[in-house]
Amino acid sequence: MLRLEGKFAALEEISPKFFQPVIEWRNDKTLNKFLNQPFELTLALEKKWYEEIYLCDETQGLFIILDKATGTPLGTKGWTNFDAQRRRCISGRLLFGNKNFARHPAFTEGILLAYDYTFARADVQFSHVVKENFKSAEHIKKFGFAENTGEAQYPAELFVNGMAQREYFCTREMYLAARKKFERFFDRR
Amino acid sequence: MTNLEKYDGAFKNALGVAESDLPALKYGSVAAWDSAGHMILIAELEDTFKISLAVADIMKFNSYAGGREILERYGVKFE
Repeated sequence: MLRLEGKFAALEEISPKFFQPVIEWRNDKTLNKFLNQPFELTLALEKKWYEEIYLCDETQGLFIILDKATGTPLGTKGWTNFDAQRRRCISGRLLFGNKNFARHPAFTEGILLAYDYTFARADVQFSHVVKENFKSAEHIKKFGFAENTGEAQYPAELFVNGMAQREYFCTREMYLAARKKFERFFDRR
Repeated sequence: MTNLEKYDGAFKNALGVAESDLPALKYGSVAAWDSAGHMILIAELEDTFKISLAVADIMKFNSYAGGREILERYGVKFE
C-alpha cells in the first residue's frame, strides 16, 4: 500500500480501514455543502465504489492525510482523470475532515506531499470549484492554481448536480513557485 | 521598526489584509487565513522574529491579538 511521509504528515492510499472516517466526513453537512454528492454515503456504497470502481481504475487515486505522530486521519486529497500521455489530471477530493487539527502543520504538509506525488507524473492539473465556494477557491490559489479563463478543458465539470463550477489550472512551475511560501516553515524543522 | 510594526507587517505580507482589519482579525474570519494561509503566516512570523514555534503554539495561534501573547512567550516584546 502506497504510503508517503513528511515531518508532520503521512499519506496512505484509501483502503477499507479508512472507510468509517471518510463516510463520516462525506456525510457531514458542514463539510459536504459543495461536494458533488447528492446522496447519503453508506458503508455498502463506499465498499462498492472501492471494489468495483477505484481498484479497477488506474486514472484515479485517493490519499488519506494522517497526523504522522498519532496516525489520526485528518482528511483526503486525490485526483481523477489522470492522462499519462498528456501528463495531466483533475486534482480534487480535498476534504478537511478533522476540525481538531485546524491550524496543525500536518494538513498543509499532507496536501504538499500529495501535490509533489501528482506533479511528478503530471505537468498540469485542473480543479473544479463550485462558484459560491469562495473558501475552496482561495485555498487552492495558495498552492498555485489560477482560474482558467480560456477554453474549458473539462466542460462536463462546469455544471454538476445543479451546481455551476469554475475551472482552475496549475502547472508544475506554478505549483513550485507557490510551494516556496510553505518551504520556509517545513525546511527549518 | 518596532516589533509591533514587524508583527503587523508579517500579517499584511502573509495574508494580504489591510492594517485596519488587524485588531479584529481571527483565524477563518477572512478567506486568506485558512489552514494554508496559517502556515504561510507562521513562516512569515518565524522569519521576522527568528523564532521557531512549537506545534502546540501554532495550533493555539488563532487571532491577531492572541498571537501577540504567544510571541511574547518567545521573547518578543511589544511596547
